[in-house]
Amino acid sequence: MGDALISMTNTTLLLQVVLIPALAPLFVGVIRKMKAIMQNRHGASIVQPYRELRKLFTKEEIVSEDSSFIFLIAPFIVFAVTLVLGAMVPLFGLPAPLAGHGDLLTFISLVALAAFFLALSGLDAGGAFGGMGSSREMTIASMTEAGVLFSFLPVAFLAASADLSLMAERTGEFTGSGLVALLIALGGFFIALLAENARYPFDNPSTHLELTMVHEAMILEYSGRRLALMEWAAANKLFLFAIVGVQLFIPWMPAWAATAPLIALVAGLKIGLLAFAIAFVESTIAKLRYFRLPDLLLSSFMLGVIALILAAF
Amino acid sequence: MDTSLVAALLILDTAVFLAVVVMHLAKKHSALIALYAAQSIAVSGMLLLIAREEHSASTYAVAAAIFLAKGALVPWLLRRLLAKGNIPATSASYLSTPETLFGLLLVTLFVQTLLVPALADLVRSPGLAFLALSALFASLLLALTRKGALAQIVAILAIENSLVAFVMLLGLRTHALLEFGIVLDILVWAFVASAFVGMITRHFGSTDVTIMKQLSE
Repeated sequence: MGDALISMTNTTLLLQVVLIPALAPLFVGVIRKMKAIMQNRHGASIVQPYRELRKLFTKEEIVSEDSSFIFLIAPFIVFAVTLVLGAMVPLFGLPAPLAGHGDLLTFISLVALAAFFLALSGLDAGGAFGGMGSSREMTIASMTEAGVLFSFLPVAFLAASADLSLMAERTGEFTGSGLVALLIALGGFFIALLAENARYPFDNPSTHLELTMVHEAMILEYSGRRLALMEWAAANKLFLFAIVGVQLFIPWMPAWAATAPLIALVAGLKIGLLAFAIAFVESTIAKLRYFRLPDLLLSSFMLGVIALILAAF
Repeated sequence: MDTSLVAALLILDTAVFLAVVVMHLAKKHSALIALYAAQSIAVSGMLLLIAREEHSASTYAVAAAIFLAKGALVPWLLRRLLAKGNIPATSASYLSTPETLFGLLLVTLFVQTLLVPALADLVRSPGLAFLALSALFASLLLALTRKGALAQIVAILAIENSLVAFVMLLGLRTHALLEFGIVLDILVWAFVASAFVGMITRHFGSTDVTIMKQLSE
C-alpha cells in the first residue's frame, strides 16, 4: 500500500514537472491569440512561444565581461524554482507531489526567491536599464507579496490548513460568507497575478520602451539559451499562478467530471477562462503610470484583508 | 416572514449594498447614475415582495411609484444634466481606492459589531438589517468623500434608498399617502437639485467643491 502510494506520487511528480513547463508556452500563446482576436488582429499561432524558445535555444549567446557568476546561474535558478513550484500545486484533483513538504508560505517564499535572483541578474551586468528594471521590480514585488499572501490567507483560514492541496480540496465546500470571502479573495489574487507576472496594467510584456519596461529591462542583457530559460520561466510562473487561481478560488467541479481526464478537461476550461480574463484586461485597460501602481496593489491587499475578516466572522 | 421571502429580500438587500460598494469604486458619473437606478429598482422590488406578502394594493402602488420616480425619472433627470456637457464625465474622490476599501471595511465592522447587536430586539432578520445599515453608512461615506456635486447628489439619493430599505425591513410602515408624498418629495428635490447644479456649473464653470472653495477665497 505504502509502495503503491510512493510510486503514484513519483509518477505525479514526474508528470507535473514535465507537464507544466510543456504547457506553459501554450498558455502564453493562447493569451496572445485571444488578445489578437479581441483587438481585431489575426495574431500569431498559439504555438509561436514554442518557436521563439526553439529559436533562442539555437542562437549564439553573448555575456557581458562585467557580469559575475550570478548573471550566469540566475536563469537556471529562476527556471528550477518554477519547476519546484510546479510540483507544489495540486493538479487533476490529486494532492500535489510535494504536498506536506511545503505550504503556502513556502510557495510565496519560492516566488520571492525567483524574483530576487531575477532582480539580482538585472543589476549584475551593470547596465542602466537592468538596474532600473530591478529597482522597479523590487518596489512592485514588495507590495505584491502582501496581496498574494492576503488573498491566500482567507482560504487557509476557512480550510483550516496552509497546505495548498488541502486548501484546494476544501474550498469547494465553502458556503455563505465563506463563499463571499473566497470571491473577494479571488479579486485580490487576480490583481496580484497580473502584478507578479508583469502583465497589464503593471507592465507591458511586449515592450522595450525604456520608460515603461520592468521585467524586460531586467533580462535585456540576456541572449540565447539563458534568455530562453528566462522567458520559459516567466511562462511557467504565469501558468502556475493560473493553476493555483483555478484550484483555490474556482474549485467547483461538475458531477460528471469524475475521472482524471474529465477533471483535467474541466480544469483546462477554467484555466482558459482565466486566460480570457487576462486577455480581456490587457485589451481594455491601458498600462498605469508607475506612481499609480501602489493604489492598485494596496487595493489587492485590502481585498485580501476584507476577505480575511469576512472569513473570521 | 417565511424563509423564502427572507431569502428573496436578502438577495435584493445585497444588491442595494453592493450597488453602494460599486459606486465607491466607480469613477464615471454615468456609472453612478446607472448604479443608483439599479439600487432603486432593488428597493422597489423589496417593497413589491412585502406588498405580495401583505396583499396590500396601496403598497403595490407605492412600489410602482418608487420604480417610476427613482428607477426611471430621477436617473433620466441626472443623465440629462450630464448630457448638457457642462459637467465632467468623471468624479474625483478625496480617498484613493485602498483607502476607500479600508473606509468601507471600518463602516461594515462598525455596523456588524455595534449597531446590529444593539438593534437585535427590533429587527426581524439581523442579516437584512446588517446589509441595509451597511448600505446606509457606506452611502454616507460616499457623500463625504466625493468632490463633485452630481456624485454627492447621487450619494444622498443612495442614502435615502438605504434608509427606505432599512425602515421597510424594520416593519415601520406609514400611511400609503405619506409614502407617495415622500416619493414626490424626492422627485421635486431631484428637479431642484439638478436645476441648482446646472446654475452652479453655468456660473462657476465647475461643480467640483475643491475648485468652488478656491473661488470663495
